Amino acid sequence: MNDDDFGTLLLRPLAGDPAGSPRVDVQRAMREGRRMRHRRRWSGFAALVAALTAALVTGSLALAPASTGPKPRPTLPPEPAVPAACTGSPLPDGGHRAVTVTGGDSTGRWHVGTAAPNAGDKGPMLIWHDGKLVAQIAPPNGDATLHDINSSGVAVGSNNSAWDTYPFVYRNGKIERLKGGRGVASAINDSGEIVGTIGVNNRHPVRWKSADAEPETLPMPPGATIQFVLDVAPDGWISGMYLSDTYVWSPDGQVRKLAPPSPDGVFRPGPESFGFGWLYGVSLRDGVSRYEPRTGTWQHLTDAGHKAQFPGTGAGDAQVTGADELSVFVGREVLRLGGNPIAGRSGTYSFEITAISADAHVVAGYGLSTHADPKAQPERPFIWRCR
Amino acid sequence: MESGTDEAYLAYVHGRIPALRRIGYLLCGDEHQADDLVQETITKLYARWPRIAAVDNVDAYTHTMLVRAFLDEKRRGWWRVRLFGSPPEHAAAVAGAAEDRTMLRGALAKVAPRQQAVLVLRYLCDQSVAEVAEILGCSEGTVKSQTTHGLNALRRILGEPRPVQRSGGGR
Repeated sequence: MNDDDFGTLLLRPLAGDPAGSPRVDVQRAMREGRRMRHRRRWSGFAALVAALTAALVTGSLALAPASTGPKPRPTLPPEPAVPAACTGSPLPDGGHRAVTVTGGDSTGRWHVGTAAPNAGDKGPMLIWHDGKLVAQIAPPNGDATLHDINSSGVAVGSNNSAWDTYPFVYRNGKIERLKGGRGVASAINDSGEIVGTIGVNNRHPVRWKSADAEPETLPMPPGATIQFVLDVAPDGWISGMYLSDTYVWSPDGQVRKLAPPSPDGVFRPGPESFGFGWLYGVSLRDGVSRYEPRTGTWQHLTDAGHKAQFPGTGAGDAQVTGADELSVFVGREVLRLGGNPIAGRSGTYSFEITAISADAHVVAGYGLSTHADPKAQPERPFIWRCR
Repeated sequence: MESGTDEAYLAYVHGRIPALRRIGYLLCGDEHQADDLVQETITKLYARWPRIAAVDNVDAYTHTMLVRAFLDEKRRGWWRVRLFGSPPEHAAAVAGAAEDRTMLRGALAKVAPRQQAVLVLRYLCDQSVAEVAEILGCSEGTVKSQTTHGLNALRRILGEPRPVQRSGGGR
């Protein structure tokens, strides 16, 4: 059998059409497209500021309680101060060609990453402290990723096999498997609580109260399935998702399926998506929103979800060229990180912000060319210090 | 109808949304994400529509934007691809063809994104090597080598699987 016959037969089970009616909004595409034309025509920067300002004003008026969930209480988390300016610089790469930052702690002093960002790559897991590379760790089974780290320098991760993945913690220079069998450890907070999933074919959400504890199964609504547990907030709130459905668990383990405020809306959080007391999420269609779990309050921050990110949400196309600036949400405001920090490079670059400290003084992520083969223009790790 | 006008854009987009959704769905395996990809594609298409008369093959141009949106999403959503690898798993509750799909989709998600795109466009969207080369902006030789690398990666991930032979199959 030649390659073409093999490929056709092998992939045939994936053939088919999407079920359900389209959720594509042509009028919205024209509105957004018009804005993009403007950005080009007016060299980007001024129009971007105007668009963001307009979106933020709209967002401030769109404060609304969730349609379901507990009755809102008046107290929302205090808004953080937005730093005035940021300076970006490369993180040490240990001599590795492609390096990404995968997470960071609340203080901005610890970051984790990998020198094997693409499937098939070989390279160590990395830990930075105060911007210095302090550990290069051989991945267990040859392929593993650290997903998160806390302010004590304790990191969690899992190996990358789809069939035999298990969760682990890295502390005191050693990798130790977490209890409970196969699964994934996604996040750790400063109290040492770890969250993730246990199981491969039948995943269920779990929380380890400490690195030595047995996993505690978190409940799911009847009939619901979990795909990923994403993050644990400093106060113990937990986020998770299944396709377009988002779940949060309260610190006492009660589960809630989120109902986005816009009809038929999609809200996609990512890892590191808790910040400043809120859960941030994005949809290319609906823009960026955030959810305050204690009060059940939704805020729509911008429907121009193209330029400002929140760590791990993948929000925004985050491409910088010319006068464009990278931006990240701090509270409900936008912190400008500055232009492309890749020195001596031309062209358009895409940046993924993957960590922000609780005081918004330290931001980390990585950049790569949007056009070139990733092998030719590899991922580069960056840190921005803001004051 | 004059090209580059809103009227021409609306006529074009309304006629192509089902096909774009299908390609998006075959690329990513999730209908909501497919809608997001199509939304992004038609937004960028509108931004460039006033100069569309300069484009020889508008369908290929649009498919290129859709595939780039998919590849960008794969890069941005590194954690979906790299960290967790496989799609939603509920194998205990599914059987037969549905299980094939779940396992295949998980395996495909672990293949390098450009190779995923090549495999989907060639074997699920019935695009020729030349058409895929135009969409991806590369040579036909690159499409062929990406096809081979992608299939080899699938073989490794799935452990030298035997494709399911079904009588009367075909797309």
